[in-house]
Amino acid sequence: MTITWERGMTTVAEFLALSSALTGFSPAELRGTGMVGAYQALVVQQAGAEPLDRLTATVARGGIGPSAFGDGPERELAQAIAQLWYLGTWPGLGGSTAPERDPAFVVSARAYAEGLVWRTFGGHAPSTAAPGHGSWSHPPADPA
Amino acid sequence: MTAPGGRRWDVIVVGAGFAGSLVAKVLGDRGWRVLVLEAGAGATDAGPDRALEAYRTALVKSPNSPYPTSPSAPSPDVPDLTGRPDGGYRAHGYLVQRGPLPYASGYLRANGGTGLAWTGLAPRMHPEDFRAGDFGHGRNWPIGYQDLEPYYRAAEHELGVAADADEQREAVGLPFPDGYRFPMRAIPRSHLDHVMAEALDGRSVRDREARVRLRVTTTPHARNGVPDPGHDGGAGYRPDGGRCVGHASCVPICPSGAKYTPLRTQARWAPSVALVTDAVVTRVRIAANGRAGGVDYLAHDGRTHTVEAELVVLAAHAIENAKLLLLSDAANRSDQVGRNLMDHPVLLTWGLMKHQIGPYRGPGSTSGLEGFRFGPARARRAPFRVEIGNWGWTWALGPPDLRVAELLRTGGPDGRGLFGAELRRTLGDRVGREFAFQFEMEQDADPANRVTLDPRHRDRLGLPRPVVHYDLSDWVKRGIAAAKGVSDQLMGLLGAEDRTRFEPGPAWPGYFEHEGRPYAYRAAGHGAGTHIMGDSPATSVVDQWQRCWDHSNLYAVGCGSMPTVATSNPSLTMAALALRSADRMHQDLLARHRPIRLKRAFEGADLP
Repeated sequence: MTITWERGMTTVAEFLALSSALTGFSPAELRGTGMVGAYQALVVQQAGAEPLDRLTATVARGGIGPSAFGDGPERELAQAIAQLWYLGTWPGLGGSTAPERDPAFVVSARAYAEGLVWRTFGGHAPSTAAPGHGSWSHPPADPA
Repeated sequence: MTAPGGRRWDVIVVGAGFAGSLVAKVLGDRGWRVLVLEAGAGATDAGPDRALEAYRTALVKSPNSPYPTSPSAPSPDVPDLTGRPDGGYRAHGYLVQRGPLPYASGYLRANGGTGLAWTGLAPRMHPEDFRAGDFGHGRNWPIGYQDLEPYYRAAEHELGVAADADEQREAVGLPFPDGYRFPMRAIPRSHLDHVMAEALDGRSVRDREARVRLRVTTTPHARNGVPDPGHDGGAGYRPDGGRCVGHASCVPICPSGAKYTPLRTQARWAPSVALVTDAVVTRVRIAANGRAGGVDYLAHDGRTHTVEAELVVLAAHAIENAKLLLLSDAANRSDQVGRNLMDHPVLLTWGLMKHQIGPYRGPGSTSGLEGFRFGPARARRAPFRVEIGNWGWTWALGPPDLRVAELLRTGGPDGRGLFGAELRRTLGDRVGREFAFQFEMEQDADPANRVTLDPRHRDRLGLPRPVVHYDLSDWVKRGIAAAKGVSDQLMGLLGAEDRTRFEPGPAWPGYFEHEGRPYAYRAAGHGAGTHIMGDSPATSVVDQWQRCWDHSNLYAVGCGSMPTVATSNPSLTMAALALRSADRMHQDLLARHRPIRLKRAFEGADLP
């Protein structure tokens, strides 16, 4: 996908800061997944550059709660970006844009494997890691 | 006996899943020319990498999600059902459903069959399970445990079962020959199993007036672990495929090849066995003398082919076997074809442990509680096997995705969503403590639970789709209620937070009420009973060899033959039955002919 960057558009650093605020994972942890570029492009493609810019600005002002977000679509976009990071799936946006264009989908096998939800309790997405025969007998590792 | 062009075979096997692949192996090894016709696509054509990619990118990771499906041979899958808001259900897949409750299992029409997606648990049936009719519910088998025992061992060798014979003898009550050792040592218990054992072993729970003693018991797996050098009288065992390394995706796909699938048996087929995929059998040809002459099938090219053989073996899954017999107007003197459809309805209960237990690791279940499978209580209510679920709430409520989505939308102090560090902390705390119990209920053979064909509903090839009428008897519902009572006590002994809650709605097509209380079931994919085995042609479809009473050279093999589905996962029993029947097929064939490629070494062999 080709993205034409324009003035005022959310930068990679800003997208990372936004994602970090929404997910609770540090920018370094997020960068470690290798998904930053793909996810930013996907959000712009699915939601549009302007809504992303507005959300970035809201969060940059220190708002990361539903009460800080403006109208329904802004909160929905925040939820979608968090879900993208946590699961590797894009949930689709209902609100003002055409919903039939926006069904939910798994971004890629890699995105599934990098889902953050598994890391919150020290686990791995099923089928993506081979921790070894009998590894499941031991107490769980500390969360990442 | 083989016509030019290879159009006449010794044996035609319909279906390249568990039973069909095993039968073809035994008969091929004995020199017979075997043609295996598989309706579905060749699952290996696309390769395991493609299947893994399909699974990882599937939004709904259903049992069939990794596997290529054929539009000509549709398969039912779990998402075909949705519950209605006020109870009841809707079915919108391949199976037409007309019962008060849904038949909630899928199966897979592909090379390897449902044996690609199966969970890989391989417990034996208990000797008592063959005499279920003595307890007043279901039927007795025409054979007993001892008749099947040598074939259980043969199946455990072929599948490569990892288990501890001493533990199975003591905790389950299974008789084994002295000194028997499984091919591999038991698969290690999960950390959750250890936590459970600490809290439960030696305690007991009440089931009405009786008390049942608890013992966390390791489950046999057809999954590669550590080979036991003592197997096979000291010959040991060399597994095919990798060792289980904990991918935690056994259903529906094992990336390391540690789980047995029928493709492993196919790789061991003799050259006299041929496989054709995308070959949808439409009819068994029955001659005027009542013998099966061969089958018709629709091939990939859209043309109908006829193949002939001495012996025809239907091994296409319980529901597809019934469909084929009905389409062929065959084997139905007893009027039992398609009837007695059984499954394992599964009551799921779920909760949060006090501490992190590391869910979503290793095989889906590594241990269970066996004490509810036997004894006089089964006269009053369905018996059940309790699986300890290692994969959190996946089967009950879906994967953690739904918990993430829920917290994002309705979490937090104001119920409007949770973000950031608090989201991360809350998810880790909760998902890391998820566990479940899976109560697999025996279902009794009821002639009213049946598969029929209705010409108004046809698939893409114009074949009538199976119409299913399914319900749970009060005996099963009493079993489910008893299981819930056991769950309540287990949760108490564990000090766990019980989060079980059944309510009508899309996620629970199997919702029902019993004596004023809400319940819901899912299903284990263990369809059985549609060509039931018995000791009389008046009341059963196949004899003890799975040979149709009405046609001396037509066999119907698989779980469809089982008179009771018992409480054990049925694949191992299906495999043992298939191996036993294959011996009989060999005798039938010998009685008419000698194999064409009789090997010299074979001539002095010890024939059964």
